[in-house]
Amino acid sequence: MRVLLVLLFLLSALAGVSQSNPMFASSNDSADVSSTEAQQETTSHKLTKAKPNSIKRAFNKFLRSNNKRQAYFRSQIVNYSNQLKTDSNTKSYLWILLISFLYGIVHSLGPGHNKVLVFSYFIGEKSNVKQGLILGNLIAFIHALSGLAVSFIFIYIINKSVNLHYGDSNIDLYIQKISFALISLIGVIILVSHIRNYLRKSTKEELVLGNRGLFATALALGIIPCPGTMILVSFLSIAGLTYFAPIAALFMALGMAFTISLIGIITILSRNVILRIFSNNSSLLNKVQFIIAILGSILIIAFGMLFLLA
Amino acid sequence: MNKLLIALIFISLAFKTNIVNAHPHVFIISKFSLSYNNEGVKGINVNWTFDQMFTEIMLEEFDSNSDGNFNSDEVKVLYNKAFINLKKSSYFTHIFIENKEIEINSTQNFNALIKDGQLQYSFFIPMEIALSNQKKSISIYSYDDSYYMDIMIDEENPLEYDNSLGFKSDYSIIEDENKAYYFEQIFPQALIINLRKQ
Repeated sequence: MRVLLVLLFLLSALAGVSQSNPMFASSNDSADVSSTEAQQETTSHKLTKAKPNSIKRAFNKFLRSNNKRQAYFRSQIVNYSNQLKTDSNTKSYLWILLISFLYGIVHSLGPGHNKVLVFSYFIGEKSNVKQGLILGNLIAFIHALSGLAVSFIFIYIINKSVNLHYGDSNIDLYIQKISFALISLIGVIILVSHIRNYLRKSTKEELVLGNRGLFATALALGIIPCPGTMILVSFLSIAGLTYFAPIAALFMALGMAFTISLIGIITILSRNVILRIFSNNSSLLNKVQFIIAILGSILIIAFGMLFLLA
Repeated sequence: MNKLLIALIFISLAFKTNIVNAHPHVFIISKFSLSYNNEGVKGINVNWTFDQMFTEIMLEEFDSNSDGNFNSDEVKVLYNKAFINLKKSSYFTHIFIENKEIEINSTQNFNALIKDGQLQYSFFIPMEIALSNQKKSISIYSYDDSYYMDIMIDEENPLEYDNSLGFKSDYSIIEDENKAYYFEQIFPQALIINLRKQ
């Protein structure tokens, strides 16, 4: 029975349609380059006038400039890699590592990388700076190592381009489903634990799931292979720097860890500042702690479910 | 254990769409030119320039004779493996004429080449837009709504046009909040072209 279920699960995962890079064809469709059967139809889609929203606009502006920085860092990695083709010098290797670190910082400032989930996790939990650093680093390194592992499996075992064939394999879809299902599950466990503690009038002021919960959360959040790492590793392998690629990937992970940890630490410190306002009234303090704990865990569940159903 | 597996099967079967991830991972600069006939516009030429890191990956995959560029056979392979799939995404191009969207069903004259170390795609989107003395507005949006690709319009040189057939045009680039995508975080850029007969 268990074998049958495992087979059914694998089949169901393989049957999915997934594509990492939308450019690459997963089907056998083909056509002639110059062929055309042009038709145009007007549809009911209409443009509407933009409404001003200064916060969204500022965030969009930030994302645009952040993307320009990412493109610049990537071009610099290409330039130093090209230099290494003609002149193998330590300086170029060090530049690639430094730029990979900076690329990791700016890359993780963009959408994704679990920043909202890290915020949701720490806003509801009594935690310290060390725990913020642990979670940020664990997520980033698991994320990068997962990308590194997938890259090397494709390069050395499957002997195919990870960029073209990773989407075809449905591995990403499978891992993402597991990841977001686990995130939702962790959110539910945290929510139930907080409600139970509150009803029991427990004064326990630490992570409801303890350090094991921290590791489980990092694993659930970080297990999705980082496409940025996969592109970096693919490129460095193509440039003949295969053995150097994992080191650069780890420096990129260090950059991502910096950003994610910073979000965690800012959340932890902000939470402490907010709670200090209510420190003179223990009854009110307990209520506020409970409310933000519930909101934090609901945010985790909502985020996990949103991505699971996206 | 069996309950967990049943739950996983349910999750796998229930949600078959690609789930979004951290982005973007490829950077593109787009620019355009208009082609005219005596009546008006007969189509839009689109040009994309990809970032150098992605260019190297594409060369490794599709430059089968390793000469650093793409010959016609390689372009055919590239077209089939890394272009026609974009039809599902309207070739990352959305065109509005006087606020009404034109459906892009096909493209012509696809080409791929390496220029200054960067991959360039070019293709032509045929369409008939009759022009008169009254101003007509064409809005061209370039974006990948999965946000795997970040597409920016070339701000220095977004549009090439010639007015030898007596058509006058001016343009501007906007960022449209109302067409925000990827969880409404990203405002796509649009090139707004105003055209009329001189």
